[in-house]
Amino acid sequence: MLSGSNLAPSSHQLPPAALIGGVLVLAGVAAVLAAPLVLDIYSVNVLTRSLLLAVAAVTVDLLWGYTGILSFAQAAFLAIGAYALALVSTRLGFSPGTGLFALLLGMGVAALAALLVGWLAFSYGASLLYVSTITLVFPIVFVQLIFAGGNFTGSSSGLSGFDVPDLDTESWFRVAGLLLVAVAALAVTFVRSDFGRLLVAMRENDLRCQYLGIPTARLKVSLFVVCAMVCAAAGWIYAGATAVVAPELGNFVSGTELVIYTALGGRATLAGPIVGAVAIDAISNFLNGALPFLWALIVGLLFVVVIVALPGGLLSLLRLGRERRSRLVPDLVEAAVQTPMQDGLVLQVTTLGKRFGSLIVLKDVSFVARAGDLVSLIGPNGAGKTTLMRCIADGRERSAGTVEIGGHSIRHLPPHRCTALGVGRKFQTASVFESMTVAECLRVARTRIERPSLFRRTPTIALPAAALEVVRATGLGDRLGVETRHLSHGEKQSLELAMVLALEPTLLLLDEPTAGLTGAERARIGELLVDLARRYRLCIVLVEHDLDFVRRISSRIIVLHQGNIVLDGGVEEATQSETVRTIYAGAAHA
Amino acid sequence: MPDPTELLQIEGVTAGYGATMVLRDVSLRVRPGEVMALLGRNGMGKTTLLRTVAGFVQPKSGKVVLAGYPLARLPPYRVARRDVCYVAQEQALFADMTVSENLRLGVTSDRLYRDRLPDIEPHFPVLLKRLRQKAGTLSGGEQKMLLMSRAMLARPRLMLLDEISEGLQPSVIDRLSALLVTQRRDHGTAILLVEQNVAFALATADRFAVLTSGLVVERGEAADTGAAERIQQHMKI
Amino acid sequence: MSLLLDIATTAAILYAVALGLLIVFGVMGIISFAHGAMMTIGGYAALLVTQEGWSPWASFPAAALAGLVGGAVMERIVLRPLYRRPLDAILATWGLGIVIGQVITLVFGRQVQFAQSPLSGAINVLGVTYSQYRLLLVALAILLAGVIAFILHGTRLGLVTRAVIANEGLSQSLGVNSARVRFASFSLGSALASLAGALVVPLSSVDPNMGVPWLVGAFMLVLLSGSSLVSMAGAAIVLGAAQVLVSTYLNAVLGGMTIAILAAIILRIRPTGFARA
Repeated sequence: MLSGSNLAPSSHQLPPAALIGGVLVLAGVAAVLAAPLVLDIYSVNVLTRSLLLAVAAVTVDLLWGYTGILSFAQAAFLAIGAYALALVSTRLGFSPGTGLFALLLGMGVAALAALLVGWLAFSYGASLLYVSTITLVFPIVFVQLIFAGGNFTGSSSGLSGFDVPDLDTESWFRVAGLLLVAVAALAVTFVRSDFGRLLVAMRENDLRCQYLGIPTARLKVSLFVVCAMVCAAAGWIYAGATAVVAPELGNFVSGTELVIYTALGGRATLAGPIVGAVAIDAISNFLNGALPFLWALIVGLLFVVVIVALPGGLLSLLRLGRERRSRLVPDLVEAAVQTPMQDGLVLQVTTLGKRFGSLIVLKDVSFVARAGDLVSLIGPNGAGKTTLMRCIADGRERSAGTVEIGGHSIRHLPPHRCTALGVGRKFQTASVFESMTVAECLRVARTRIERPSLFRRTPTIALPAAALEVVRATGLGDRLGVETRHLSHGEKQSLELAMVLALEPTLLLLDEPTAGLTGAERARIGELLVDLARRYRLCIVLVEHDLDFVRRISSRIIVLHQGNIVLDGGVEEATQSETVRTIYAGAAHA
Repeated sequence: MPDPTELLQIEGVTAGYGATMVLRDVSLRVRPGEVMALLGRNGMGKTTLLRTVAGFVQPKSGKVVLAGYPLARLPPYRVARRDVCYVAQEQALFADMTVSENLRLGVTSDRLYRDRLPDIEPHFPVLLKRLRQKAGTLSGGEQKMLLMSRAMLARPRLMLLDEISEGLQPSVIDRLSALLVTQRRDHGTAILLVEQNVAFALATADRFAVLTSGLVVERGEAADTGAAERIQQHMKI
Repeated sequence: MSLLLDIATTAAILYAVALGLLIVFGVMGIISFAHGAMMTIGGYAALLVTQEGWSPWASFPAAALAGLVGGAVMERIVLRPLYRRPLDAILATWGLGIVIGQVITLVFGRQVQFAQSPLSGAINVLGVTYSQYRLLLVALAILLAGVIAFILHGTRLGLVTRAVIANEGLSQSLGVNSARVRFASFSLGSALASLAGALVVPLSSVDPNMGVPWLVGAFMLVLLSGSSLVSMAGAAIVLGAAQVLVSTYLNAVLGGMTIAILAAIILRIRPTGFARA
């Protein structure tokens, strides 16, 4: 148990944050209800629209600021919701029944569209540029479809004069405002929860998440669909309040404006996009004559300036934008291990080959490894060691042969599915989440085994004994609240090891675990690895250059040279081998 | 205090990537026209040292001085223009460009290329017959020849060679050794030679140093008796 | 036959529009969202030429010059600081595009205007009467491609640029000032964009947003081509053909979407697009 080693008091921090949140929500509701009483009717009208755009901007921030997905499509989803009400109302007139139908229709179509766009955009390996380009294509398609609809959709002139719910301007304002307050409150709760940390993790290091068994593509699509539905709901209100819809509502210019609001206000703040949307949109509606163009020019200039010089947005100037993370430092407890200790064959590699075009990197590689083995993979540069690691951890990598983990073939499974089979891969350069604390990294690492909460930060993190031991032995237990970017290189390596162990893997793949470590750190990690193999019956395969280290800790050594296994045997055998010595002395090359 | 008798002075350099310090307090000097071999096993920092001199890695502490001129904070292209030629171990060629284009990129103008191209004739005549061939289609040995030719055309004051002998047949390695010695003798080029092939290094170099875990643990003259044994102590598995 | 000519001219126009974008993408790794605005600048340069009463042929060099200067300024002031933040650089180009669009609106007004075409009328080609100007465009696109290919493969600057495209780090170690190459490439790319703007103006009209419809098609074309001039020619022909065929046999509106959708699907299936893997 490590609860005694925390520096900060833990669980009694929660209620004050919730209290502040509650007060803010009440204040927001009060403001929304009271505002129409003090503002003139024109302002109320304008602000109603601005508030709804702010809802869409919040989704932009959730996707972009937190999850790293730059989406230009949110305005189009809003337009879908608006058009749904307009079309249904035009054809069927308005009644509570048709109104509800229109709302569900809008949200449903938006969800389906988001699903399709998401499927296109979030495939594994898609570049961020591609993702954004797809979200740019969607509004274009949407607008074209509206044009193609001719009279049915109103084409380029849009639809107007359709029946809407019989509410006055002030009431529409309140409806829009309450939606914004609700969405904002939910969004804030969401990003502050454990799941919210997962979003940031995906933004910072998607690959690491995949290798932690997290299905990042699926999660991103889900988030995208939810955001689309929220936008559609806002669109429904928009159509109701203005009784006019036009294709410009959802074109990519509108989509980029939402991005601009978010960037100017402040990314990853949730308050930023709200402030940005309300301020910019409202102001542009109060300007007459040529001024709107001047205003657009100024906004454009400000946008460029912010991107270049102030990426945190204008809120960062006020230092309000900084995401205030609670001081909560969770307790670590021991988890009941779900994966039983292994015995027997853990890894079976059979005639594995890998080629890049005509370049053969690995040829006919076969070996096995059992529970409790500590196998070191050595060989000169370019021998194919890291490639071999990749082929074991990612079913799509190899060109030939089979890999079985605990008897299950990895076929062509992507990394997160291989992780589910029991593979835990630790990268050579400490691959963690820089802006998150040690505790948060560990929490994310447990995602596959323990679903994170959507609403709260759990005050305890349950880790398996192996991970706890690493945390304790390397002193990370005292650094749970420290952001990983402040850790030393050795500590980051240890953290990554602990994170991988949190997965309860049966096979641990380590790529140069001693790279950049001091002598003392090497000794410690060596002891840890031997312990992990012996006590927890982990099967450990590591790639190393430090041959003293290898000699000290390995139970077996495999020598790889130019893509082939040259030797597979005990430590004695490897150190005596003439072949191996030749390879390393470099006196004769094949 | 920069020493005018030294061409390259590396003093107390600590450098690495991110939080990882690969080099710890490394000091090394190369005299004008001398061949200095830098030996050691993989991952010990040899490549990082070359990249630090070439300007790709900024040292966290210590200094690198070339002929009295500090190289710290110079971007790589400025270091290259100070007559330093860096031949990396991997990705050192433009595979999709022809032999001729690769050679042209080694010098600052096409005029120089044309004037100096005959320099290659005595050493690598086969290259001159393959000028239009794509560099990526050459054999491993021929690619190394191309790298050496490109370096020679530049007529640098200092060559940084990262495992140039890797993957070459013994006969070619002998020719390479002779070439480097000629380069030093005829053009006064100093060479910092990173190697794992001890025999080749000792046959070519004047002095040597061994790098282990980011520290220089052994130095000496290549001609010393017992040099090979001392070096092998640090290299063996 | 006229269908084939339509395909040829559509492909040629696409190619000419995307050429500048391709160079910028190859050298700098970013897609310039200001591309549409640069085209608009070219369009207005052509307009000015018409208004001043000069020969319409002068609109081409005028546009190129305007684009060159504009691109140079943009690269130096806005893009250079964003060297290590490519996604932010792309956003910044969008902001610049907006700024340019608004400046043009403030100076020239919002209304749609027309510039004079250097070549009007139709001629008879292989049994079909076809617009002379459109045919000229095909020739000009090929000429442009040829010029760029010559610069890239026949000059020292081109050699150095190709080196930076292939491997910036290696180029730097050989003494290439890659920052200057980026500067030159972006300026050239912008000049080409403006030139393309002047090229398409006689086909329709000039207004502050004229460049926008071309943006996405050009982006997709570049994403499909990697860094290869030849791949882009292939992609332009395929996409151009698809658009023309869909517009002719199905629906003009669907035709407008074809390029974007088809490209998105191709990229999903084969992320390297038409480029050699």
